[in-house]
Amino acid sequence: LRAPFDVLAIVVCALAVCGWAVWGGDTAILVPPPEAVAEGFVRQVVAGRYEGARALLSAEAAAEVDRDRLEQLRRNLEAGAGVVVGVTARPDGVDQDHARATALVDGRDGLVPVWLSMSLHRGLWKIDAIKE
Amino acid sequence: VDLHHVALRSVFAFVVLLALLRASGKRTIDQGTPFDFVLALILGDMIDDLLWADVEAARFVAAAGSLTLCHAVVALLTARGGFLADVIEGRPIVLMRAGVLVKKGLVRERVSESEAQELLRVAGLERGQWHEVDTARIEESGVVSVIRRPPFRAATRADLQRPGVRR
Repeated sequence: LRAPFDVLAIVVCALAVCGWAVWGGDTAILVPPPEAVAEGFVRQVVAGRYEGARALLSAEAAAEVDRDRLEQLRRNLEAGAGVVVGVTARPDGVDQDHARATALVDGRDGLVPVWLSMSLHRGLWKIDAIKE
Repeated sequence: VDLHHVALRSVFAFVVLLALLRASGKRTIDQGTPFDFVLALILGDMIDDLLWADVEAARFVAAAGSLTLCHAVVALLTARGGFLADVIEGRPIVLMRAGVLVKKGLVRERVSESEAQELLRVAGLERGQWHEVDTARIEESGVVSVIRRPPFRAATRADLQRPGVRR
């Protein structure tokens, strides 16, 4: 009869460790680092999963970047790169609670960069601005 | 992605999964039933997202914890046997009775005759030994269990106490 309570206790402890790490300033180990967020965002856009992409935006950015803007971004990326075969990202620098990263959209016709700037919101990197 | 970050995430995932699997019982680790196997498979897939930092660790903990909790609750309910255990884990299917393959059991488990022969060989029974079998079943875990007829099974204390048995 103990097993479910043991599992619950482990989950609570593990979540406490996650919270403690974020509270202690972790921005890249137990939370996705800026380049992972950038890559995830562009992957979602390229796949047409706009709500998933918008979840990675900061509240301010989400108010400005709507579904149509993301649809436009997807069209621009496909116009430049052709049929997309992969997305990678690299960090461009972290300055305390701000970071920049470049996502590279690899397509049959070439490589298209997307520059993203981010800031920390409650321990998670959120995208503030997108530049094609 | 920095290598030391990957290493630290791996250690975190390892500790969390080890603790969850130990808490959920030995069956999960042993993959006792198809249900246990599926849980182990899903957890194995989920760890991938954490290692490459696709999701935050808290989400991994919430997802892995919820699944393991469901498994622990279901295991508790099925441990009491009855209807729920039959629905979730199934029942043993008779593969052979009195040395003869049971067609109904083979069909139900979608096992061909040659596959049944293979399962019985793995259980240590060549075709020439089938007459020794009282009952062979495919258990819920997929393992074949064999009960031999009295003359062919290992002697028990009760056999030695039968009238006419000289010690």
